[in-house]
Amino acid sequence: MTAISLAKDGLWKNNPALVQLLGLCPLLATSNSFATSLGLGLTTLVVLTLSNFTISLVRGLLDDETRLPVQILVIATFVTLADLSLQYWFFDMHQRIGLFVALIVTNCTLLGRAEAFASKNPVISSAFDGLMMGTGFLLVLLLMGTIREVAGNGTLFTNLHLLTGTPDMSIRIADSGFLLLALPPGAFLTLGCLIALKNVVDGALR
Amino acid sequence: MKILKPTLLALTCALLLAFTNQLTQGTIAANQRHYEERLLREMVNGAELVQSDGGYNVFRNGTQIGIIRKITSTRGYNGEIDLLIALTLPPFTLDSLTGDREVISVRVIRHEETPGIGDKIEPDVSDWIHQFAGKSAQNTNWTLSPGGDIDAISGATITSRAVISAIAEALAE
Repeated sequence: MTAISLAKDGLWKNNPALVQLLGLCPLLATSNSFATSLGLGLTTLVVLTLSNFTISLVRGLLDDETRLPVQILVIATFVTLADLSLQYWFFDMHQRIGLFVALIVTNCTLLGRAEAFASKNPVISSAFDGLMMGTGFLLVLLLMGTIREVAGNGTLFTNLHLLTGTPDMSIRIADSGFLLLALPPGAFLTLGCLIALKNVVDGALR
Repeated sequence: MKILKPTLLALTCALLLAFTNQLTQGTIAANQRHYEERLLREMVNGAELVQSDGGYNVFRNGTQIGIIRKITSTRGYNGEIDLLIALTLPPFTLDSLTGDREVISVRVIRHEETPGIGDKIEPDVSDWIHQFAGKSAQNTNWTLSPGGDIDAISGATITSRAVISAIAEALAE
């Protein structure tokens, strides 16, 4: 696996959110604003990279019977560390996305990559795979967050200052929006449209 | 000894978590305190707060008008729910003249209820928690509607009940 094919896989061809359709629970739940998308996307990216790295590192020590429990253990450890770090540095952001951070453990992207890739490949390419898959997930999350916040609420970057520590950066684009897009059904509609769009692009390229 | 290597790995993870927890808990507790103080000021609309035994005493223009209690409900769907409840101190009331102890406001400060369902008890997620303002043990039928005066969150009856009964008990105290 070359770096380029790993990057292509994670970002486009095998994108966890648009093609594998994994990790939909946090994707749908936190994508109602740009700031929460960024918060959860970055946390997932970091956890995925570190867990892939670690699982690849210890893959020689494990056999078929103990592999899965240890993989989940490693993922759960990094999620808990991420949760504590968020509370340490970004407490207000944690108040918004904290419930979903714990759910990263059950994000199938993580166990999926651990099992399908990290447990069979060397450390560096596993970490890079995690980085690329995580970035692919983050980009889709950000795109959905942007669409849903702008179209649903008419704002952008609300609460982003909770992550960056700078003054309030929210922009008001319209007085109100199409509220449905900010509500849970809007998450499904937006994701469906994005998947369709990706298929159209793929079809045109072929 | 097949089990040895996984056990060692688990031990490493446990140590790492214990170490990080030790390192971060002081700051996290301080962050939680700041957050609570901000909520407290919001709850009583800028009235003065003086720390007391079980919480805070609320003063306006030098007279005590209410109290704030921190309450933990163990009856949630998942784990404990921590609440701050601001109550009037009779004979001071919000708008009625009954002289009963009324709820000024309620805030959930910590919970682990189901995201997207039970988290509607947070004021950032829904307006549900605001329905309690002005309610007293006497002017309200504290059972769920229909039949009672309190709306539950649909899909989160256990979470709603935990919060509602915690408030009703605080009023009855």
